[in-house]
Amino acid sequence: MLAPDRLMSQRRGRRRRRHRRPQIRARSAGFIASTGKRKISPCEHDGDGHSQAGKMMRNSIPYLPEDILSRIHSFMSMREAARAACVSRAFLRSWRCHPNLIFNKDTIGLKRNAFGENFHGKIGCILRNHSGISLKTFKLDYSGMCGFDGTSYLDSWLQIALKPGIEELTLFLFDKQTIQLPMLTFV
Amino acid sequence: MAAAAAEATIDGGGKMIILISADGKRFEVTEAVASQSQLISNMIEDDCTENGVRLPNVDGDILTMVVDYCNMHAGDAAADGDTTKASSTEELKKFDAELVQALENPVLFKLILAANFLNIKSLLDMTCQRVADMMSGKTPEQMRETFSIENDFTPEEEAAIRQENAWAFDD
Repeated sequence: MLAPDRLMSQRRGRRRRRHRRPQIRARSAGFIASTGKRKISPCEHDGDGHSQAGKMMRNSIPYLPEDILSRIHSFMSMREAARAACVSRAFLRSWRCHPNLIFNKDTIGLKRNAFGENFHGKIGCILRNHSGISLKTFKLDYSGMCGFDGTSYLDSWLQIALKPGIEELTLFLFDKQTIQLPMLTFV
Repeated sequence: MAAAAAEATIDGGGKMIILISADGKRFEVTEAVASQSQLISNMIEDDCTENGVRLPNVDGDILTMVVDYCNMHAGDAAADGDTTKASSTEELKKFDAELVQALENPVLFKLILAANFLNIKSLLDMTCQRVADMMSGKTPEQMRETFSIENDFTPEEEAAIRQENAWAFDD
């Protein structure tokens, strides 16, 4: 158990990372992690073969299993992934579980004369609609956004983002900001 | 290719394993090569490979690519800290790039399914990355067209998600 942790951010660029133990991480690590531990006997894998062979006949992206769609989706940048969410329901489901949420002025397309509320509104919207499942990386970077202050939202964002399975939390904040991280449990 | 794979013989006395594709093609590979597949690695551990490993959902042409890939990457895990690795890393990158870039979509998807079934993480990541790259810079309509994806949203649902993610369409 980690006590409420006060983070004094004396300068921009202060980073905070937490890593979970691999065996716990496996819960949300998708197909590879789960099958990697599974022993498959020859009989069992013959059985699997028939259903997969059917899928291979069609060999088109809509027929790829959803865990593979999610994997493809996870290799896209935030903007690409958000656009792909508009392609089909399967991709939208995958977007709701996107493993890497990286918020900075580039990833979510902040216009030059945008206001802080615009940036914070987008983050809040994405987080509220995210399932919370499979989130591995959460980065919030205020570099180059002088005058934006999202600290009043930070607590609620972190409550959504910091779920079991999170592997990396990175916050780039401003000078002399003090934030209080929510109570977290790291096993 | 199958012959080339079979010639990739015993390095340091490693045991050979025979992989049999859906259409009956046989590939003889070392345990080290085959073990890059977590599925086969588990079978080796369980002593289930004596009579060859039948892969009824992987065609011979796809298994040829998989075996070539595994032969090329067999030294990866063992070579950490090896100073000669730098040049081979370049070769591997070139090999990987050429492998995926030349593929038509249906073949690429078959390779993804094979990598998924055989549980070869590096190959699965590489092929999925290729699809992600192909989707890059495209509108949702172009993505659908490129990969024959049906738009299964209602007009209202599509409008809602496009509005929600409107920020991703800003130039």
